Amino acid sequence: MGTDTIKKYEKEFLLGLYERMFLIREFEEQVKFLFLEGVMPGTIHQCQGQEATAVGVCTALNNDDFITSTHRPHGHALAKGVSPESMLIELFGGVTGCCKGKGGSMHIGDVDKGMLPAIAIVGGGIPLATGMGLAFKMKKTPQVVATFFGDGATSEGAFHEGINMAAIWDLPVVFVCENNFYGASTHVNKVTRLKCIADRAAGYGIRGETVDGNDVLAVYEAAQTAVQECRDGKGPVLLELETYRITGHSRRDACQYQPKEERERWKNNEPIGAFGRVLVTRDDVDEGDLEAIRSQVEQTVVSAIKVGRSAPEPTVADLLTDVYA
Amino acid sequence: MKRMSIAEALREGIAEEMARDEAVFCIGEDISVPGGWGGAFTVTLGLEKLFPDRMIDTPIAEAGFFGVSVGAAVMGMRPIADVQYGDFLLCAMDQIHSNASMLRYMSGGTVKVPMVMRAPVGATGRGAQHARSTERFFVGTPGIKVVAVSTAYDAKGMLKAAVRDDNPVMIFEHKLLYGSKGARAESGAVDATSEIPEGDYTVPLDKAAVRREGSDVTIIGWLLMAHLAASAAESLAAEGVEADVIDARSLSPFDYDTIGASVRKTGRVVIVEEGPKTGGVSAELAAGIAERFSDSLKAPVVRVASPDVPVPFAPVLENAYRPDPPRIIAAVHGLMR
Amino acid sequence: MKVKMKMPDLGTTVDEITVVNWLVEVGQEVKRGQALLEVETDKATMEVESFVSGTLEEICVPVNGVTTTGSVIAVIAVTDV
Repeated sequence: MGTDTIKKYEKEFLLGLYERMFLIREFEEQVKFLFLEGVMPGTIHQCQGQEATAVGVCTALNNDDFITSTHRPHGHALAKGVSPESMLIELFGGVTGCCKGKGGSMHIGDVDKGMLPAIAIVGGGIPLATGMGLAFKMKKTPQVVATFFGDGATSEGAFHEGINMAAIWDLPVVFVCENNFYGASTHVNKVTRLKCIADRAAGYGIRGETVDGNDVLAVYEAAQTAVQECRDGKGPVLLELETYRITGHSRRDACQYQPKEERERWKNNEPIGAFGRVLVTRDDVDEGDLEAIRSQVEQTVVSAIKVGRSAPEPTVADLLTDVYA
Repeated sequence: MKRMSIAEALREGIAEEMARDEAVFCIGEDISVPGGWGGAFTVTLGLEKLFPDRMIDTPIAEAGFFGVSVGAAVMGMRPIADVQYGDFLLCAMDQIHSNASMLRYMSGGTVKVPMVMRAPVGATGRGAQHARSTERFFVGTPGIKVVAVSTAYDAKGMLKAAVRDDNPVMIFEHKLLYGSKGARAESGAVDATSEIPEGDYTVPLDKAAVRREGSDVTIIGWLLMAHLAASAAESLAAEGVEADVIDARSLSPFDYDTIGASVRKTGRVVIVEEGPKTGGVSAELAAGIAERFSDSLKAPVVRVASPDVPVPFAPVLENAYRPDPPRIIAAVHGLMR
Repeated sequence: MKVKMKMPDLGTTVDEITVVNWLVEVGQEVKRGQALLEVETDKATMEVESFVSGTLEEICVPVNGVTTTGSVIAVIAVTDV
């Protein structure tokens, strides 16, 4: 992310990227401490450090494009436009949440915003994305689907079957591998001999690309190119976005398996700080602009938490509804 | 009216639904390859000539194309996905159980998954892995409707109802009932043809069918076992025992109205199931009957099912595995004592 | 508002958690996410972060004291937002 690249774009666009990334970070941090306080039910899988992948990819999509997500879906949802309030209500198990309190953290989604409820079985959302791409192609609509999954999912059969079918039918699907180097606690080097997950694309006869997943503009530009290829009928594409989770796999994880120096290195290169440092090299952006965004986002999340905490719970009668259409 | 086999009736039903609604498409292995068989049992034979863009042959990847079907369905398409053998559903189990059945609930009712799944089951000389009666793995899966068709009339009507339903519907079909012809004909096939009326009709997905009326005992079966139950009932009539024969047809949910009316009349129930006895569909049905109608029962519900073994190959063993009319008759005799 | 900060679930496989060191003194300002104390479990020594921003009012478990998940370890006065 050079100072030249940053000059290509409008200020508002760039600050928008910063705001959405910081919204994800602040949302995740607040939620983390709500869990530690013990006031939020269930479990969580968080994405601090991976904000640039969600924001970069989703910014390249239109409102009527779709995403599928994983057990770690908060960032994807916020980046696609699902409201922090409806998500926090859902996390607190409220009936007015984005899934009426029936989904919870691992199944966050909102089809009106172009996000299917997140699929929490590793790799399970990948064939769905292929099917969504098939529907777009059969209906001759220009829509595209981006399917997020981690490095761990590329060992699943569902990854192979889903990506292969998208390839043979030229479907408009961007396969987005967020390679954070750990499937839960197991390092990616222990589960594949490949040095580069994008190399798997060759096995399906499609284009693959490895991108710095902590550089939001690099992710955005790679996603934009991939999305355009898909709209032009030249898809699918496999994007590997290298990033790092600077929080636990789930709420009870102290990350003892991440070497300290590795963790520190990535923390120093976390995407929000890195983007902020480049942003202020522009003549028309200063630290005060960023501080203003951060404090506004903090207020947004604080008031969303208040709404979330006070939202009505489902009634027991709700247990039996929404099973069948 | 014209006489049709189940395979022909399904084919006609699929073609009519595809003509009626452009969102309907077929997806599966070898379903529309020119020079091929139209699926394993000729159901989709020739449909690619009518609908060249909506007959999708897939790689051999059941988990993949069932997931693809779910994804297409949530985006407004109406896929009809079939497996060559019901056993292969197990390869797609995660997509069916975790995604097709649950997406509506976990989305708080904002997503619907209108997809049809078709699966041939039954022991037919192929050994253990192309023979299981896999209904048991889907009955008791909230979010999925399960039916089993034993006549051509029902096959067409239920297929059409399933396509129009906004939920995932699993249709079980039996290899010995298709009436497939030529090289795809099955040895030991049973006639399941029906007179198919002209014009559109559907058969509800939640109603059992009374195939024969009698007041002494209720015999419940589905698929091939519905036919064998009817055959056993004819033999019993010759000795003066009159049986109600119910084709359960809808396996999830069960039609306890129809079943209950019969149980109240006869007070005696025999359930016939192809497949291991332990943990089978008949276990659930027997428990459901006992919970609801125990006051009417003159004796405990009796199950006639396969032993708890994989499906064997040798004809003599396979015949011993599959419930048959003599075993059904013996069970009724035991109940009438 | 005063927040009673409880020992978070650290994913340990033992019940006892020993306080090794307090990194903040009573009366000091703390920020959410700032390391408050070090503890020792079966797994390792690790830091416990403050859930909230405010002033540390009370330390409830002294150095070398033993506590368990869910027990109050500190009281922090926060300004309402």
